[in-house]
Amino acid sequence: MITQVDWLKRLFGQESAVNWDEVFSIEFPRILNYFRYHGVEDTIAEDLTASTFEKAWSSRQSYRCEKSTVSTWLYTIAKHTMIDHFRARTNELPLDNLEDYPQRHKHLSPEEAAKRSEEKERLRRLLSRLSERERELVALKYGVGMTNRAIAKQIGLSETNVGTILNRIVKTLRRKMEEEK
Amino acid sequence: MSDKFLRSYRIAPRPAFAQDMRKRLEIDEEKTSRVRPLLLHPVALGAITLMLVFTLTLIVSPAARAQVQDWVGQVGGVLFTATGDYPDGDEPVTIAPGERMSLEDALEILPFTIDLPTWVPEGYVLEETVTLVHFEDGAERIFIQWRAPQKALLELEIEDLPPDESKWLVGLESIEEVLVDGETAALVRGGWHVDTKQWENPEILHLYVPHNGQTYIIFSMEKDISVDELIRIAESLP
Repeated sequence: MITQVDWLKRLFGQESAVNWDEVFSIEFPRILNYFRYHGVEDTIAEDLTASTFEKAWSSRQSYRCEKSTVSTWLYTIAKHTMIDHFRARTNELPLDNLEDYPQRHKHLSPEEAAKRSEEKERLRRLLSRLSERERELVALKYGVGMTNRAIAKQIGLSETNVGTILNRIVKTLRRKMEEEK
Repeated sequence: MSDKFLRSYRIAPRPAFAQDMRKRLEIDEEKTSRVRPLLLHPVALGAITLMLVFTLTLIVSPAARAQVQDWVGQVGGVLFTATGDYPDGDEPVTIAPGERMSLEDALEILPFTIDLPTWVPEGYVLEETVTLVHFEDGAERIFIQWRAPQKALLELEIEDLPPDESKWLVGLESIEEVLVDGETAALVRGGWHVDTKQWENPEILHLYVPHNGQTYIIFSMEKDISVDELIRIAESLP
């Protein structure tokens, strides 16, 4: 049976309070990966994630639930943080920073961990060379985990268009990964 | 097209990083905050008034209350009856006959085609044999399983009835709406306990997804597979 609370939620499309604890648990990994899929190094992705959440937290009282969901609000802040970051760094991106990868692969042999690290670093470099729009699509799809429909709504493309572009990006990335092996 | 190499690039935040952020933001001190109240639209006000009248009717009228004890409706295009009463009361449990066979053999017999998810969580391996169940009313159902170490189970159940013709009896307030590929789908928590005749164990998860005119039900236990992972499995259906 639909409860009165559920019914009111459906009527207004949102809850009357934001559970920040839950928002943090769900969105923190998504925002971190949003930055990583933009091809930035892990340490920078962490800095940008921290910056995004600090900005969001300090302005949480200005969040208007009837205008957007918390997720959309956070991604908007993340996107502006990302744009500021790329503006500040111009086009220069460091290509080699493998130091912190081995600690993510403690369960693997040193050789296997090194191989995985190399693959991830190769993919990171390829991601960083995508156009801004391509990176945004990949970051929303694979970093945030949005559906094609949600991405289409977020960036103003048709769902089919999003699917076609993503398909092309994935094919290109996979081919380049193979070529660079 | 496989995008596994891209998906595997995803990582979980370092626990120390997440903890540090929580501390810096002092989230634990303010877990929930109210947001600005909405200005009520006249339509909303009218709807709330109707809701109050409806609630009052329920309180004063036992007949009206009885009628809403069971809830019948569609969630994500799938028809459910949510009830507090164990199905079929005191009737003895009957087990529909099932046939074990290879997936290839099942695909030849089945009067409908099926799709398998292209993604399952790491470590889950598709079982070689599947089960086909024939019901008295002619409906066919196929059960396909993936197993992981420590016997964790993931099961896909496909029924050849259109979603709005299936009649699923579930416990009261056991249905949640989730989004699969942007579409509403039903996540049901729990199951009927054959001995206690109660709806129990909310850790049991069933995700109901209409697909190609059939009902796909993905089942697992929350300790083994999270709701997000169940949704991702459903979204990987071609």
